[in-house]
Amino acid sequence: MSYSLGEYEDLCKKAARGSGMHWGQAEEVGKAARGLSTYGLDDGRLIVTAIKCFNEENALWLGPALCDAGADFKYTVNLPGVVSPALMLPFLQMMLGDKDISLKIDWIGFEGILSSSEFFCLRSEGFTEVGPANIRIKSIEKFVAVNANRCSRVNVDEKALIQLNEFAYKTYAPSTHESRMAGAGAGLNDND
Amino acid sequence: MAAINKVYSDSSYRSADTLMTLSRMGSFHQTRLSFMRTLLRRFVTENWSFKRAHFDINMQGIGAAVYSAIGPINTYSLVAFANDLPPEKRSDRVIATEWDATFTLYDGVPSNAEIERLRKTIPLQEAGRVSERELSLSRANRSIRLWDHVVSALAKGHQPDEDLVAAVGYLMRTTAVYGSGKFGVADREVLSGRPECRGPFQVEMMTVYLIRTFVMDLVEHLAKLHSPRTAVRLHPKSRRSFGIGNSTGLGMAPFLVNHPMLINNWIMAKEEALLRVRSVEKASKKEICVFLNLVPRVIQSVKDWRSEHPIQLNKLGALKSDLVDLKDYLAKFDFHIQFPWQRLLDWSEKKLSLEGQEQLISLILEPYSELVDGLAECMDADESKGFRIDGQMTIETLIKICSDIYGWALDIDWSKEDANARAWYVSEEKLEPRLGERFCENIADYEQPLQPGRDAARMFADLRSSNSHSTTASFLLKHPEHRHIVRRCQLAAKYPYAEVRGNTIDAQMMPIDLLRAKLSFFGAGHFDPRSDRWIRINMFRGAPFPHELQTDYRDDWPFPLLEEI
Repeated sequence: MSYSLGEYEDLCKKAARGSGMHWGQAEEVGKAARGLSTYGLDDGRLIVTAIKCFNEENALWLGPALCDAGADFKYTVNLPGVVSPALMLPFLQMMLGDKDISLKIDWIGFEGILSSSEFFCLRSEGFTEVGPANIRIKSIEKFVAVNANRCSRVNVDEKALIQLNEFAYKTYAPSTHESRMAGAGAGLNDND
Repeated sequence: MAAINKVYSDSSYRSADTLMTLSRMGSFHQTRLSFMRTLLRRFVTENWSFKRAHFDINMQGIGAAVYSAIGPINTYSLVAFANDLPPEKRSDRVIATEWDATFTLYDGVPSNAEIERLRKTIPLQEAGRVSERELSLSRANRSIRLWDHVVSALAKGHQPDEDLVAAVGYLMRTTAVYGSGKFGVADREVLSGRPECRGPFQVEMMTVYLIRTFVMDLVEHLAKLHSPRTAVRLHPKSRRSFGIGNSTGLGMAPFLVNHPMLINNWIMAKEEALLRVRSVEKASKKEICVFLNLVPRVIQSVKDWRSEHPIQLNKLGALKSDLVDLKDYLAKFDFHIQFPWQRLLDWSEKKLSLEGQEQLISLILEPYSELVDGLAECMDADESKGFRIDGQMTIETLIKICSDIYGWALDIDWSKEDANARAWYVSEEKLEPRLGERFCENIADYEQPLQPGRDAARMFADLRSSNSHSTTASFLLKHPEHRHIVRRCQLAAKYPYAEVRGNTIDAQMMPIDLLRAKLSFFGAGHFDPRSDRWIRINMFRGAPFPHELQTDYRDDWPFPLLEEI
């Protein structure tokens, strides 16, 4: 099913929150989901997998932590044992901000180059690996992709969509009479 | 640290502590920078043309219509589906499932096949699925007080009762206008390269403007179908007095809290406009004349402002009295002194209510199109730029920022029930945003992050027990629960009007204050709260219709003309 990126980001944020993450972390999951989908790299399956096994080895934890701390990657940085490694990419991109450098990133079966606004995949068969993977990151000169494809929609995988909605549903309060009366317009004549 | 100090020591703008209180935000008025006015100004300056491309609606009021707005580069079409809704199904609430009319703004001109595709999905609103060609999704209900009366009067060859029209002001009320990727419509990024879509809510305003045109055509069309021999059209002057109503609920309050950078940019643009006008050393005769001519018009507009809500009635009473005081003061005011507008504002801050002060601000911007209108270009925001947390910031600095921005929240005793009496949550019932009583309902587990004051106070307590020389990054490794508020706090340090200075979960909090702040930037007027969380407004009342834009446009259309009184 075709989703707008904003709609998909919001769904993933709610799903992450529904899975037990704090709101701030859930916001980051939404941004990561949107970031990958912008390049057509995820249809919900990577996010669902990562949400289900969220812990301190997970890219959804390590990515924001690395992004907070910042690094220049002048020398190769090794990140061992990263679960859902592909989800490091949006956080690394966020970290680059307006910096005029690119990063070369690889793990077994995957090699890619990332700048603050572009992504180029050199080897992709290991991209969707759950890991744990040993990620290597090194800065290189600014890379400019030619005809970089950007997606403005995401076709969410049907099974992933069901799971995302199940998690998201946990953020919605059950409907009760009191709740219904707390909605805007409740108890008023709105047919006039 | 220097940057932070600058924000709070810069006396050029009004301080955030003054401006961003809930009570002042709940007193904002439309200005030259409001989004409806920006839209119509563009239509006129770029010479947009309009076309009713399709209109097929039967005697029961069922059918479809297409209205195209043709700009220099792009064309947008309102696709409208009219419905014959049984009265018992008519509700303005989010939980409604059918409406009198449903709409989308389509990118381009839809083919017949596209109209058929849309006919299957647009009437379902959130329950349907739309494509990227659809830029907005909206619905509206008829005003029972006015609809039948107007159809019947026109069918008989009469004009509708003027007093009744003035009392209601619209034939249909929109109950939602979704854009920016909501429910699958095109994301804002898809359109942000187009000048006409770059400003905030321009797609939504275009939708509503075309809905108004459709609704007026529809009512005249139905009158004609009912009585082809006797039916007449609305008199052009009477036609203009109809706007489009809007019922707004709690969804708008979370929007204000969830888009701090955007809200900052709206308010900053208005404050910059105000600063420019305050800095005018000598007002010209023409500028003084424009201002003075507007005063009786705004007095009339306030007289026409109807509300039965006690809070709004009190505010209206104060505003009416303020305007009498203003008129008296102006009778002896010497406009030839230096910085006359600053002097007027100084007086207003001592003498007028918040409603009156904000009304005066709206008025003094009016003579200065050249100083003000260009600022409309600064009101959008690339919100992705405020997302990254600066983990290198020391805890000492974060404490300082937190004290500066959330000082008011740090003074609150959060152990008291009244201070956190409410909780914002989303109901499973059609995902309606709601505000509940935390200590009476089982809702705390579902709380949305819409209480920055309380969250900042909680973070502050943990910051105080951390090493002041350590970094935010290391603090967040220990306290991931504060990631949300750290992000807000750092952002608010760069964008002074990003954060509301008020407790959004207090027992006495009035959500309508937040709704009004946002609606004033849309350009809405005649705010009519129906409860503390439900407000009705009128949009585009007094505005020229598309066919009048090139011949009969005046930029001050929100103010009634004296000859109309």
